[in-house]
Amino acid sequence: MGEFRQARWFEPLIFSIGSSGRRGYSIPSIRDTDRSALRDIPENLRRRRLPDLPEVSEVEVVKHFTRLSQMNFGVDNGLYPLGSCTMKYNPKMNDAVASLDEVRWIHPFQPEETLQGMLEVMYKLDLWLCEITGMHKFSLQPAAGANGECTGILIIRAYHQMHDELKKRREIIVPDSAHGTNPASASMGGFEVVTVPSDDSGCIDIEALKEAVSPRTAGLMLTNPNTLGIFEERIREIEEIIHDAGGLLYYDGANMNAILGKARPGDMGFDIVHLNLHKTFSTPHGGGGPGAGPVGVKEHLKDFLPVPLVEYDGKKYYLNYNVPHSIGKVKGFYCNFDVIVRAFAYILTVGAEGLKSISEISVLNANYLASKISCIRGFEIPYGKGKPRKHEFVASCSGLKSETRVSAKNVAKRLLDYGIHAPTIYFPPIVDEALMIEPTESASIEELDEFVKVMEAISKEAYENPEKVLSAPHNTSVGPIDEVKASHPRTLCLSWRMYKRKFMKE
Amino acid sequence: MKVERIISIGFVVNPIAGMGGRVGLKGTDGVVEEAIRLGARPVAPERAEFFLKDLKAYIVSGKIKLVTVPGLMGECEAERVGIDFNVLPLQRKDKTIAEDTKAAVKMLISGKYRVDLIVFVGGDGTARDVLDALSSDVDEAIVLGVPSGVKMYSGVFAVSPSEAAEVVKAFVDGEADVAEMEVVDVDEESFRKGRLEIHLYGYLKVPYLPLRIQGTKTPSPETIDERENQKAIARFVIENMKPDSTYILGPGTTVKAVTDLLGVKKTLLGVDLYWNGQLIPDVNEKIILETVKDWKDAWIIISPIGGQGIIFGRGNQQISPEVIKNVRKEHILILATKNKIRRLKGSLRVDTGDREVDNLLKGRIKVITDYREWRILKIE
Amino acid sequence: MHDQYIPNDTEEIRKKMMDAIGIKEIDELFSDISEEIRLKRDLNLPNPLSELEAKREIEKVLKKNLTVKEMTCFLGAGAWPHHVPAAVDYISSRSEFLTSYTPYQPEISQGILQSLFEYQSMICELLDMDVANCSMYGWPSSLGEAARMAARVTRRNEFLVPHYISRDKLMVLKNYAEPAGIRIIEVNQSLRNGQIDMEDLKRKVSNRTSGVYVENPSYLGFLIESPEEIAEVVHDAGGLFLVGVDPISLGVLRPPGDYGADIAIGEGQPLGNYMNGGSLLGIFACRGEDYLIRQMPGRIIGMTTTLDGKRQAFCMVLQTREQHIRRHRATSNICTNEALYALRAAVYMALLGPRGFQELGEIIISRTRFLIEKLSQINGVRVPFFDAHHFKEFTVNFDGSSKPLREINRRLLEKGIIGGKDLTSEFPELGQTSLYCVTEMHTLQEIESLCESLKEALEA
Repeated sequence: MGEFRQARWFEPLIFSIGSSGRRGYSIPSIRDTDRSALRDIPENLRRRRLPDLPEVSEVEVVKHFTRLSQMNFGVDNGLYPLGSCTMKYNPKMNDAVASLDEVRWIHPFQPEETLQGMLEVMYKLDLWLCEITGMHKFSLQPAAGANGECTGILIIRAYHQMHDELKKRREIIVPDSAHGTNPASASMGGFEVVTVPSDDSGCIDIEALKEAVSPRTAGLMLTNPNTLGIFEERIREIEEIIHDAGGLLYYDGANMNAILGKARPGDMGFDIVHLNLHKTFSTPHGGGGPGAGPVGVKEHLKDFLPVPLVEYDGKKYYLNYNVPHSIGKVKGFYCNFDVIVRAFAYILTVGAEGLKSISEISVLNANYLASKISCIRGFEIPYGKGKPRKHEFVASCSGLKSETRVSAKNVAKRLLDYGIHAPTIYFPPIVDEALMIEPTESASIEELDEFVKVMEAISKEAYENPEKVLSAPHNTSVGPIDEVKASHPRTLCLSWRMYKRKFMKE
Repeated sequence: MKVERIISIGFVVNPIAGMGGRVGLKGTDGVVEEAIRLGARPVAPERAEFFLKDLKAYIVSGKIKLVTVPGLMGECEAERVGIDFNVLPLQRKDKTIAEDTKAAVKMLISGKYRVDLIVFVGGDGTARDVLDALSSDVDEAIVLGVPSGVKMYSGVFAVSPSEAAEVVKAFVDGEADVAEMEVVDVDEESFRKGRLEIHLYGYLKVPYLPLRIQGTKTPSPETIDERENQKAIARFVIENMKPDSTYILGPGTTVKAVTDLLGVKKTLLGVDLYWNGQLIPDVNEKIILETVKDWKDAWIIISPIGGQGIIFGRGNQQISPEVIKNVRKEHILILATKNKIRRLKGSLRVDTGDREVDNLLKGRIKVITDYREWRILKIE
Repeated sequence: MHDQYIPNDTEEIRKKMMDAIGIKEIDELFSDISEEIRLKRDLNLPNPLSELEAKREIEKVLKKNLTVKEMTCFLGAGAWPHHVPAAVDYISSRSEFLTSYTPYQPEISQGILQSLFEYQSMICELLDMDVANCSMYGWPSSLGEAARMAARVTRRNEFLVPHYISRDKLMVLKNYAEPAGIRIIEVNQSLRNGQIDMEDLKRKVSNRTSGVYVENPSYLGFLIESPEEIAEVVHDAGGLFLVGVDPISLGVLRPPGDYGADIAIGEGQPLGNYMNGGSLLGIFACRGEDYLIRQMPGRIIGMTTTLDGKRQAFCMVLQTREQHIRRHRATSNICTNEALYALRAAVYMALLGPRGFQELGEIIISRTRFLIEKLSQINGVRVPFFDAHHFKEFTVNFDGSSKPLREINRRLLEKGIIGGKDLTSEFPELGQTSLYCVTEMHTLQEIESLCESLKEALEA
């Protein structure tokens, strides 16, 4: 077990490198046309001063960003057990097909007959996702999980509107362990949010849920397994309570990696589902996006999906704008197709059997890790004692904190020193000093054992030499960052322009 | 490894703050002589020392550089605690007035010192002086109050000197968040005459210990600011208020945020009645029972009091068992900020003194926790 | 085939790990999923393929696409073909960037953080704004978020948009606006020159107006001639002025910050991103006043230092904003954005530099004029429909020909040319009009072959 060293370039801002007159782009000759055309544009519409962009050669640009990349950490660098983010390996073959001209150089408004390949991929992925989730039709339009949630909420809105009940049905119910976007999406859709507590087993408190439902209930948003990594065993009861109250059930698919081929939200009674292709279906997260958050519904909600839907008439694939109660559009065009095609390639290579193995091993990995972490001094795994976890588990180091001052944040930072990305911390909020750990199926047993060793070492350090942990990280490109200064009104700096104004004043 | 970042803190004590309290004066502003005549003893220096003692480790280790004011305005206290500090080149005074606080703050924020954080010991009056002194620099300064006054309605105060020290430590470690908090003060004259007229004087940027949620799927790591939360709750309550309904309003800042937004002046500690834009302040059980005519349209708006989460029976006995019975459980609106909820550990309590009413209330109830947000809590 | 992605999926390791946690069957870990909802069959999916087979299969399917490289395509309308320098592909395929998550741990994520800070900074320079976030889902989504932001800032709920904006964009806008109680009001534009009808604007602007939005260049390619006048009207009424732009135009055209925009948005796809059948990068920027920054949605990267003050460092900032947003009942829920596209845009903007943008803008303007001139020589073609200056896109009207636009486009397609976007259903009042786009990608030969084919199609 060795400590790690991340590259530590002193890389200035791109604005501070280069020299006047340099550039990194060769302009195509315009002999064919007349450059004086610019003079046709009246003076008052023309830019007066050129933008203050850097003047750098291609050589400098490539070096700059290559160095920056070396100060970044992705799943190809090491273990990335960031809970609820499913940071699994991103197969290279998927990137290769996403780079084909047939993906890159197509325009969304091309005639359908020239986009049959794209439409076929979309249509088939739709079918496969239906099969995987037990739903009846998917829209691939949403660009991210949160965009999918919004779509779902808009569908719930439109559904109640059609039944003339929207004025009455104002409330979306979410458990207190829900992903933070759930209440945010509900509120973005104009709903009130009712939070229901979890019980000691880590599942929704059914009695509280019964109290929460009323004729005002529009729906429930739930992820299953939940953010504690625990399967909501009483899901059928929950489903009955909500449906009996006239509400719809929304499935947040962020944790779908745990149950592929084992159970399907459609069979659990959910009406609407979103999936995160950049989690469960292995598309790379790109430092924050692009993602894809397709939304699937049961038959009775099909007519509410965004337009266009992709259909097949037996001979050709086509875009269907004729969706009677459609909510319209939730983003421009049809989808992030470069993401869609990667997920398509993934399912094509792993198949049904592979998907099942993915869930089995991701769950096995999580439970293996949980059993070892729970033995480390200062850590425990609260809620649902003795229950198996699914793809992730939440450890608490509140014991460690009270005995050594070392907090979840400190543990997270110290992990970085060993070349392991930190778990998600302080989430879900119902666990004190939470570390939410999701190893995914991509972690080998050797990596898991290594992770355990590192956690043991950190615990030992916390008790014996806490300063080392408290002042972590030491081996990353930069040491602990002054986040207060970053948001402090006096030093807030959000652009080069602000920097020049605030700090370069003569 | 030692963290080498050094934070400079300007420390200002208003030595006479809080003197009026024990001798029954409501605030010392303008009546110091009388307070001293009545036998008042300074309390601020002692509180200042508590605060500094809790901070000592950070000062000794060099993480904090302390700049303070001559004499009782900080120097004496710091000396007694035995720590290193610098003193502003100001005249040492035996009797201090508001102008001295202002002068000190002005100097601390000026180019030469430009401290990262100003900590003052005092009350609402002192907070106002700090606000005045900052004037145009107010956006650039971060301020924290150590409570020592008689009146401390402003949001700039930590709960206690030791909590203030915790906040400062977190600030030094880069773990505190900063939010704008109100500086309010009660009109001195009317306050001494038993009337409560609270004026809002402005806002200061104040560090606080955030409730950390780093959600993977949380829109951003979200922190919950108490005042913002109260306003959000108030906005939601008002949206749902019905004309012609009578509202029985319990004490506390959370309920008060509702009336603030409605533009009527509620008593902070009393129970008030609100009906169609009018407020009857400080009512007792008898007045409630006499005034409310239509119980079908009567509502109780309360928030849990203290750390135990008691909603009835402490500090609001005016809302008697009979009143509660008349209003019915369905018409009770409970307001609680997320910070408060966190401390409650999932349940509320009642102790009305009437077993029957207590049982009536028990079970689960929807509590308003934010704009358009509810939470189901247990009443025990 | 999947073993290659799952290192622990061997009999031996499975057994070893199951022993370690004291179970005999893997299904014991799923025992809490009740029988009733357990899937008791295999998923009905195609049999797994090897990498070789899968790649062949996908290539076979995708070959059914005809790319704009194989044809000549004059489509724009929200996604535009521009050259993508090879260096952009190289940088964005570095897996330290590609396979990282949102930078929650800034110390180990300085690379993407600094890159995104530089993206924000270059966007600011290009748009002449002070602050930009690090991306939205696309221009339409940026517009939706901007409308909500305007409502939060002004606490008003009427949002004015020009008549000539994309109907698709309008649909997205409505989905953001309606649940927040924001009313969308269209402002008339002149059928002659496309300019905003100032009388109509003044009639519709009031103390309920949260903001007025215009696009420059507009959806139909024409330039707004006096944006200041619009800014003045809305500012006088206490509302915000919002402008949507195509950033590729800003080396030659006035940036929105120069004529009073409070919020500037746009589409970043042209900045080094492929069209990918419609992948987008939403630009979102605003002026530097505190009350605006605090209401800005999305993630923002800030520059700071390490705690010891020795090194420059970057992290996500202003995270308490969300609370302010919530209070005004218009939370934005955006998390995952388009960071990698923003990174690509950063590399692209750095490569081009000020003069690259200027020269590219000049080329596009001259191509635009060249194509307009060529087309105007064809009988039965009225081009541009609007009597105004155009950038990159313009309207071509075929009312003077006996052929419907549909048929003309079909005939062009037979020649391997994809004509402009058919606007007949979007804006029936424009008659048989389509929207043409021309960029540095189009060669002289392509332009000439379009004109010839059009002539033939019209005469046929």
